[in-house]
Amino acid sequence: MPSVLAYHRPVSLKEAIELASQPNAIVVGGGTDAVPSILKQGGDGVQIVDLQELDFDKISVLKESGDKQVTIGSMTRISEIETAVEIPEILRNLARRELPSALRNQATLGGTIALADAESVLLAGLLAFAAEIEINGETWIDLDEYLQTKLAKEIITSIRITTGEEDLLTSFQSVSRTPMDTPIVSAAATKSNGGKIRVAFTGVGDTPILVRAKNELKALKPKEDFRGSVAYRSHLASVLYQRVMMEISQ
Amino acid sequence: MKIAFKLNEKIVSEDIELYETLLQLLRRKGMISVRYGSDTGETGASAVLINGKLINTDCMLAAQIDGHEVITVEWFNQSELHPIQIAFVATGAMQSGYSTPAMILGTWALIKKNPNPSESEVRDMLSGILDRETAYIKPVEAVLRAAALMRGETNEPFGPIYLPPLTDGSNPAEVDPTDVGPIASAAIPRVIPSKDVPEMAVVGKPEVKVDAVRLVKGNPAFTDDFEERGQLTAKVLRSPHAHARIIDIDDSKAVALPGVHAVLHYKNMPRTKYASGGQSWPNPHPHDQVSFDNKVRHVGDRVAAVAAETEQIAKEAIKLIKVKYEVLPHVLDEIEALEPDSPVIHDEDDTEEIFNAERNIVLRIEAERGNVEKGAEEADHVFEDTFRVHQVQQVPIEPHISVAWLDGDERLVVRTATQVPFHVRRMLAPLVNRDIKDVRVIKPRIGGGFGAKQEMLIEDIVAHLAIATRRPVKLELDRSEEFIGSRTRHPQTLTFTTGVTKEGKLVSQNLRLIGNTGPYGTHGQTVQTVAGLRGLTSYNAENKKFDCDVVYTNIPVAGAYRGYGAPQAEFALEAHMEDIAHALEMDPIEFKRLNWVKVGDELNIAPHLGERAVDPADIEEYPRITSNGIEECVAQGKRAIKWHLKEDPNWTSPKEKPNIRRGLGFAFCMHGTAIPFLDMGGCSIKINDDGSFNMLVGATDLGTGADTVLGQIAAEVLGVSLSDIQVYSSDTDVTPFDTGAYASSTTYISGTAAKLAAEKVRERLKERAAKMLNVKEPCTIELRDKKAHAPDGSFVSIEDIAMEAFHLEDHEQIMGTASYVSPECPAPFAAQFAEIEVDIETGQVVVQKLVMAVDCGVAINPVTASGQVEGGMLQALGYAHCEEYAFNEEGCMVNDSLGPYKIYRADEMPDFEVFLIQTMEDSGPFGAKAVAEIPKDGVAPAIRNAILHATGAAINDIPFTPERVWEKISELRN
Ligand SMILES: Cc1cc2nc3c(=O)[nH]c(=O)nc-3n(C[C@H](O)[C@H](O)[C@H](O)COP(=O)(O)OP(=O)(O)OC[C@H]3O[C@@H](n4cnc5c(N)ncnc54)[C@H](O)[C@@H]3O)c2cc1C
Ligand code: FES
Repeated sequence: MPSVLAYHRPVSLKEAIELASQPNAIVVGGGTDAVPSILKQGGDGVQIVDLQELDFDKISVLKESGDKQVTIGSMTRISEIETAVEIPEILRNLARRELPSALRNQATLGGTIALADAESVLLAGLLAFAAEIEINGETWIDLDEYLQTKLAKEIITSIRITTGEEDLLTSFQSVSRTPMDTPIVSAAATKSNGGKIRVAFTGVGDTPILVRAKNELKALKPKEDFRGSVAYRSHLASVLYQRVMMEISQ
Repeated sequence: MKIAFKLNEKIVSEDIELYETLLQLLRRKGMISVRYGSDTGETGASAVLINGKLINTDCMLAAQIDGHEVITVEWFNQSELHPIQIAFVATGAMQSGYSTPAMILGTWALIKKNPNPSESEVRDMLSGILDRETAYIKPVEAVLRAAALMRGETNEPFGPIYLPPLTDGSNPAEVDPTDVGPIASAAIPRVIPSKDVPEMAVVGKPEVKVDAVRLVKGNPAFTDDFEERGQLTAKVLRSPHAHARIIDIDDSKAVALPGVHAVLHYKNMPRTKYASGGQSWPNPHPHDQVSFDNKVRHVGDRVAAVAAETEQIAKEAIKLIKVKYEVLPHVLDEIEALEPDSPVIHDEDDTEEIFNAERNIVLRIEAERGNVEKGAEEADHVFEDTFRVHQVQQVPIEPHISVAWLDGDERLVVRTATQVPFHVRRMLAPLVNRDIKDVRVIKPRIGGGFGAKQEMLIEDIVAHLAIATRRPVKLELDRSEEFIGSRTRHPQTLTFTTGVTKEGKLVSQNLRLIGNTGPYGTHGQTVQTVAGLRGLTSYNAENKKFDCDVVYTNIPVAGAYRGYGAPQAEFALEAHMEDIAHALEMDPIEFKRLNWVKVGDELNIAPHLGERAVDPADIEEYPRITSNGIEECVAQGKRAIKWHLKEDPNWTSPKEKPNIRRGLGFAFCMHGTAIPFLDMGGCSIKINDDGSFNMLVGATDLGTGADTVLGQIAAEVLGVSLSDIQVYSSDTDVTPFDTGAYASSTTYISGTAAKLAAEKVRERLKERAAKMLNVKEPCTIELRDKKAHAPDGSFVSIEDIAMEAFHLEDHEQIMGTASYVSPECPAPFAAQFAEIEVDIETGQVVVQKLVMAVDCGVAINPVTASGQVEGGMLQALGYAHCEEYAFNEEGCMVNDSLGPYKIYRADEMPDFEVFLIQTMEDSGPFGAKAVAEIPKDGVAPAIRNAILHATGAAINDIPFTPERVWEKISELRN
């Protein structure tokens, strides 16, 4: 009857990968989402693989020929992202916007990515920064690709972003019921010194998604809910697209 | 599994279950300051410090804490209060105090990191702790003051500022646009005194709440903080269908599960009809409920209940109950429910007095004074508008919770979070086939109610289970059940038809209202009646009519919610009046002023509405308005909101933000104070050896500060300080009868009872003092400073009088008991203002500021009174702006958690400013009227009128969510 059969706290990545590969294993980062859903579902029972003992909560910076690469461990709490001076300001603001205080102290970046919530503003920000995800401590893939393929059962070990010059242009625009509510639709954008633009949206697809060019807006397939119909979400996407483009071209 | 962790600096090693949450573990370990509010960290009531950081314990497994450090508020508790606790107490930062421990811990962590936090950093810290009561205003002040104390600074004493009036009290005044008004923290109440009000010693003072220390320490206070030996846990199986007949229930697997003690449902329970609304006897018909029915009428309706050794077993047993349903068509909308081909929701043959069951009409309410049709014919213009108001929930952070057991004498005892302990006792007795004398209801502290707990909601379930198992049984609703299985605000469709002369005088006003009560009647009659009353008494017109159908549908049940029909009606009324003013090209405030009721005017349709409605033929004298401070309210409010900006195009259409339009809006608000001839309060006061007093009240303090205010009233009469009064509420075995906390009645009704009881005690004290001091006339004795003073300057202490009475001469227990029911219902008035910004390309509305200036008579305690206004406005803001029930095709609520159901948090609040305009209401205790509900009435129309000002879009349904506003703006453009 108890829905939890075992609780593991692996001390090495190897052990974690092995435990996580079992059919009834659930990886827990902070647990803000995993714990309530395990307790609600009940069912046949799961084995919990809690990653807290692993040394995945570091933020490091590497500077190379003008490029700045920031690597964030997957067990870094969202609140630590908010306060880390190494991280670009817009991402720190989005970390704050992601969750209220107490949840922010518990939820991890890895959990947030694995959950791939369509409304995660932090993920939209990371997409705009062309973040890469490290899987099982060995392979790197684009966050964009990860969100589209959703590699189940793999452990996210770190996340990295590369920023060019200091003066990267950024913008975030959103529409929500109240100022800090999860946006119905939001857009995050960056423009590198070389002029490369990346715009990512929440609220218009199954996960946060990149829009590479204006004409891709038409292809978006928003899911409607009581806060926004398909037509309204599409309308917001084009308004917000315009706004972020304007802001980064100033 | 065995874990070890540090709990308040002591190492604890503990065997835990793998599925146990940290919240469950900590409460099991006696840390009862850590409280349940949700299962997913939405409310923050369960937050503690883990390794120094504020973290929720409801969405964390106990196993995760192995090796870490936990701090709870119990760690702070010494005999002296910690500076943070001192600051929370001093500012009145808690109402129910349910989540106060979490706030104190968050404050500690914040100040440790940052000894001098800014307001926005404080608000960010509080963002994880939801509060329905304080609007975060006084908590923010408390945190800032706590930081100052911890830096070694001292704070100014916390209390109101007194402002000179801007008017003569009855006439309008011009407001000088250069006058910026008071500069003071938003938490500080702005009081505009009246020369009619005498200076008093305790009344009118910002006394600290009598229960403040208990609440800041997280000491046992709430229903779940006390545990009976051998207590079982109950769970309810709820309907997944909006409308279905139960063909059969097979409970054999659940009954067989080890640890299960009882499974109850329609097949093994008697069918006793009742109505669950917590109201005076006789409860209004129809009595359309039974404890367990063979039909379900909304998603979340009760099907069966289980009592088991643990919550886990009870949950498992619920899943093992097999139910065979015949699913029936359902209807959610009140207009559709009236259609002839709509499903019939009450087709049973044992419910009496449904007005028209075939058409889902619970009852019809009609009242008329004069003749509206004739009035309309005589009018120069007739205006008609229809409005739709939606369903929202009270969202007390403490959900409904009850525990029942049989005591040594086999009497049934129910400890329950209720606003109406005496109604619960009377209503519960027949359901469990007992006499009233064999039922005892104890109401401890309540973690918020707002009307949701003015209901006999789950007490019958725990009572049945306790009787069936002969064990104590506890039932606590989870957050989802709180949404779908408790009570909500009635949705309504309202049509106002108003006849006006060309000069702008109203001649007739008709309100047609269709009220949606969900599948059960409960408060259906009374809420819609109050909507009629509030919709039709604010403005003078000779001809008025109320025409109302209360309708059954398959939405979660509607019931009592703070404001009780008034927020719905006043939204429609104030929007309708605004639109008429525009049509007549009159200034809206001028037009409303021309028509609103003034001192001496009749409450002209009022006596024909309500539980004790009177026929027009039988009325000699109509009740009249006895005090009205609206002009001062309007003037203070206009100044605070900068009303002159309304005409400034640079402000309304800012150049630097081309997609933004700004607007200001106003609403006139009027409420009632208690139900005349019906609401009754009782109080009894006895003296102790040391000259202190025990005061027993049946009234229920929901966090509103009622215990404090009633204590202040008694202290004022007895010439002692508030700390000399020990207030206890309420226990049906011990405290005097009281109808309970609703209808804005506690201060006025129970307060008068407290005053009368104290006066009886005072008379005895004076008589004895006169004798002791050899004074002939007891009436010349004065009680003050805990002494009885004779005219010649001699005195005797109250303690000496008590000692003499107990131990020396003419032995007696000095005590007084009194009760009160009012023949009157004096109206509080208010001016509500709103400032908003609309993004015209997206429809997003940002509310920048809300100002409410309230005439509540004499505020017995300005700090708790302003707290009432702040909290009320917060809930009203949610009603107007973002809270709503959303359903899928099957009639199932899709947003039954906080987040999707959006309530405001600390870091996104608009500015609030509250003014308390004193008037002397001679019928109230020391001049008091009500204050608790009127702040619910004006926010939605003020925001609506501000959006109209900003964009030209008149929106007649709430809430003002982005897509709705965008659609209206788009319509206007096309
Ligand atoms: C009340 C509440 C409000 C919320 N509001 C929002 C919101 O407004 N916007 C929004 O976008 N989200 C919201 N969320 C979701 C929130 O962002 C996530 O709960 C949180 O970010 C998940 O982090 P976690 O570390 O707690 O993840 P966990 O709960 O531990 O895990 C989440 C999922 O990720 C997997 N996982 C965890 N770590 C890893 C890893 N390192 N590698 C691979 N898989 C992993 C788990 O198996 C699980 O499936 C809300 C959640 C709650 C409870
Ligand atoms: S005591 Fe009787 S009149 Fe003074």
